[in-house]
Amino acid sequence: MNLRIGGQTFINVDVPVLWGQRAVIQDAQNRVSVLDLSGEKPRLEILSDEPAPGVPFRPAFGGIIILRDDQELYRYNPEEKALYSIGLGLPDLEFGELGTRIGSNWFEGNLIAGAGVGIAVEKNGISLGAPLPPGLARLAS
Amino acid sequence: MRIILNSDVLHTQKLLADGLPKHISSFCAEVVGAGASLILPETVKHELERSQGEIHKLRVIELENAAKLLRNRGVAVGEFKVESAIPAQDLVSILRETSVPVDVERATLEDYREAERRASLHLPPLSGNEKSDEMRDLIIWVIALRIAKAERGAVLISRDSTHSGDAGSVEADECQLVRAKDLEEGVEFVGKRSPALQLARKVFETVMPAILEEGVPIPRELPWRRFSRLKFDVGEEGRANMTVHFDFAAEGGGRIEGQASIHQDSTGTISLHLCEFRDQDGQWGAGFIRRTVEGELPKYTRPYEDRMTDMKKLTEE
Repeated sequence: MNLRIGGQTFINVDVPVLWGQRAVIQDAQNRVSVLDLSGEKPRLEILSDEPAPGVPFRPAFGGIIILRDDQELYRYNPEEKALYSIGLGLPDLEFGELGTRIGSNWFEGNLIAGAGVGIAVEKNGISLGAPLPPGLARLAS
Repeated sequence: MRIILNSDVLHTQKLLADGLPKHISSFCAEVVGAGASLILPETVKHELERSQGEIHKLRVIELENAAKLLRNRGVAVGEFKVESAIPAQDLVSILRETSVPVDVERATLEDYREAERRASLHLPPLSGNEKSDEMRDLIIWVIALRIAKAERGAVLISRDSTHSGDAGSVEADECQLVRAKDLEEGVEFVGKRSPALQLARKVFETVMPAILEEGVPIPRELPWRRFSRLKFDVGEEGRANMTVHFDFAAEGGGRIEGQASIHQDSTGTISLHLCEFRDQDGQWGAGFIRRTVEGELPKYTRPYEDRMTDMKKLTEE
């Protein structure tokens, strides 16, 4: 996959941004989609800035809150292009025109090529150009 | 009405000088619209300022490193003041810029002593199962009770289990302290309609004639604050399905409560399932109603196919 998201260029990557166990991509109109890779099958949670069919959610200020088993997982705000973790324990992820904010870190103008994951965001760290975690490789392919 | 905020509902990893996150600025606008005001316990202000200070420090280092790099490469970079390039704004001023009235409430000596007593004796709102005696939570709790008592009602918005747990229920009720777990729920207590409540009402109104036809004594004028445990999903056409718990003052007296599941089956047909029906005396009727209704639920998203087209284009690249 070759594309430009939040000020970064991704060339030949499988998953441009992995937020915990969720693949996050942005289309040419800057609309964000989130794919949950934590289960046996990949599951779309957000499709083009809106909740995907069958995914439990609640409308919230500025966007939606994605739920699972009545627990709030995260908030997505389409105007800001920002994901705010509620129950996932992850840093925020926000795509700007010039760069990407991950927690309190700002990334701008990086080129990431030939990696399984372009940017991997975990609870305690961020990696640029990481292999796909073994359990996710099958799902993401 | 005064709304007391815990740090967990305001926490952000974004430098606030760059702008408040949308959900916080929208919340502030609703508070202004309701004629309510915010109270930040001083401990909350300190916590948020500490985390903002750390983010600010990072920004300053980034800027200084960028200037150093340019100079090392022979690019002329004039002297600049880091503080004016990245202003360190305080949280209260930023909140006030949204026009919302904000007061910072300092804990009194009595508040501290009361928090200490509760911590030492494991009194409510502590449940007794806590791993540590978190004094900050107890101070916020004591401040919230004091304000609610003095003002004859207040709202505490906090996700913290000490603040929202059952152990504090009796005392909160006695002091008319209402507890909300998020900003959206918080504004409902000051008479505003959260986005979820607005959608719930639209969906419920679609099937109201059918519910009335079944003889259920729900009020013809639906009250706003009587929906809870709201959960939605959309079908492929983008119509909003909903499950919700309702608890209304019944038409003709008493109460009627239950669980509603309202789902768009196919174009023009809605599946309606009401269960756990109870009135003040116990089970109402058979306790459930299941039927189909002609009609269409409100649209919430664009159709799935339209959205997938853009996604497919992207993944094929």
